[in-house]
Amino acid sequence: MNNNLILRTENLSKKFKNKYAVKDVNMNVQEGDIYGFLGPNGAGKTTSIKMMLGFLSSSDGDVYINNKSVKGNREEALKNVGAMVEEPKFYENLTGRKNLQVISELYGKKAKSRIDEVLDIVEMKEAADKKVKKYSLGMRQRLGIARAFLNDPEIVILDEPTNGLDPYGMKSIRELIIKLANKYKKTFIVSTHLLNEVEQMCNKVGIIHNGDLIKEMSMEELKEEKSDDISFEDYFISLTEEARSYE
Amino acid sequence: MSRVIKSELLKYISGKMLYICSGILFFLPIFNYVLTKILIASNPETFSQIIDRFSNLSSQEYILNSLAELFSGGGLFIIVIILASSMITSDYSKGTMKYTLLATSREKLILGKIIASGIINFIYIAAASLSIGIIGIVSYNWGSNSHSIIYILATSLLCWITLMGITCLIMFAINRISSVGGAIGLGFGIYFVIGLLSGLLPESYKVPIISANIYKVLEVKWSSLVEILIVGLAYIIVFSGLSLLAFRKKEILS
Ligand SMILES: Nc1ncnc2c1ncn2[C@@H]1O[C@H](COP(=O)(O)OP(=O)(O)O)[C@@H](O)[C@H]1O
Ligand SMILES: [Mg+2]
Repeated sequence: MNNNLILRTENLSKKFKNKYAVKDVNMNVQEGDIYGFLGPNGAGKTTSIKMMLGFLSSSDGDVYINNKSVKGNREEALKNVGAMVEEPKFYENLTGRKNLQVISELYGKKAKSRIDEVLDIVEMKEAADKKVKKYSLGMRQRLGIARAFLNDPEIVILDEPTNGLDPYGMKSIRELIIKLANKYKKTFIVSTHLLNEVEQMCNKVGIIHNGDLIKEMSMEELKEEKSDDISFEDYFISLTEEARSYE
Repeated sequence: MSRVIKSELLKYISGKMLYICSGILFFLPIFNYVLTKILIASNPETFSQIIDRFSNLSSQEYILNSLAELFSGGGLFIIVIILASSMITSDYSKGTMKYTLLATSREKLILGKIIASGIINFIYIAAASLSIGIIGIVSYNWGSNSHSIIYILATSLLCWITLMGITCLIMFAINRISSVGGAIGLGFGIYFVIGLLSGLLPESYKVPIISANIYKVLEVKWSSLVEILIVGLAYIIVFSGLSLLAFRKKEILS
């Protein structure tokens, strides 16, 4: 087994009623990757991520984080994982700081001492003592990323962290992720339905469509594979159409 | 698990709910007392019987009677049932539970929440008991008759254990419900059903009906206290165990 794979999924599948939302997904994330998990709405990104985090049980297959099985020992496997799944949710009546305190209590001493640091990292120090219900979506996304950093994780999984933001907000979240990956040497899995986001931010991409991981490659490979005269957008569409024609 | 308990308590200490509910429970006995005084003063003839009863009460009797009202009646139950039914579902339906679960296991989370709700219930009971105790000592003669302090404390403790039994029952019953409103509705439904059962069943079958035991606690018979303790603990163990089993398999969808 490849040892520097920090996270891999093995035939990961999830069936809701009688329809597969995710089918036989094999993802390979290496240490230091900013892995773009790309797919249109409804492709199965959130479902896959929820299985990675043990929120949903897989119908088949498993997730290994640092070679530890999520199915077998969820708590151990997730020790060094931080995450934000779907819209960032908080205790609305508490301040940003209090929200981080509530979660850091669960992680223990080290996380408690990191609250100011993570607020600083996401540039939320000034708004930290306002109630979350007063926050804009962009501030929530930032606080969500801060929360994902509390336990000083090795790998951070962000589910559509720019969803719903205006172009300026999107750009600043993207820059934040790049900064965090470079400065703190963290591995990221970032799901998105926007190809240009992957292009700007990621070194590796996994493309999911109708629950199938139809491609997984480095961005360099992708650039080589795609001919120069078509755009990323068109290339992406051609890939998903190819997948559709197999059905 | 102590981390989960601390985190849950921090949430309540940082919010307003704990203080509002404690405040209500603290002022309710005072309100009752003042209202009774005013009624009696304004209309001595109609209330002559009550006056007789009131003026002959010892501190202990006043305290025990008021605790009886507290544990058998409205305010406290409403608050306890709302807490038991919303503690898990609100965290789940708001989508915040995911982040708690990243840092701990489902087992620790559910047990931690049960214990935290026990501590919060204890605070509520303490708030009400405090004002009852103050009124009892200030306004009535200590006297020498009737119940000892130990009996009063034992009664309160048993009532607390019984309330925790009800809390665990409700927490188990709502494990499939994902909306706070639905959970609170079901919580009250269960409470009314067991109340109804305890009214309908003959005396000898009532022991396992947990809410009926609240009234029995207040009968001041040492002999029945052990029985009530056992039933309360059995509810806590059985339903926290069942909650644990149900929650282990729960899919976190929201
Ligand atoms: N709880 C659920 N019950 C039934 N179907 C679901 C459930 N959650 C997601 N799905 C379905 O699974 C598919 C993948 O959804 P999702 O993982 O949310 O996609 P994405 O995050 O890529 O937009 C969709 O077709 C969605 O309708
Ligand atoms: Mg999604």
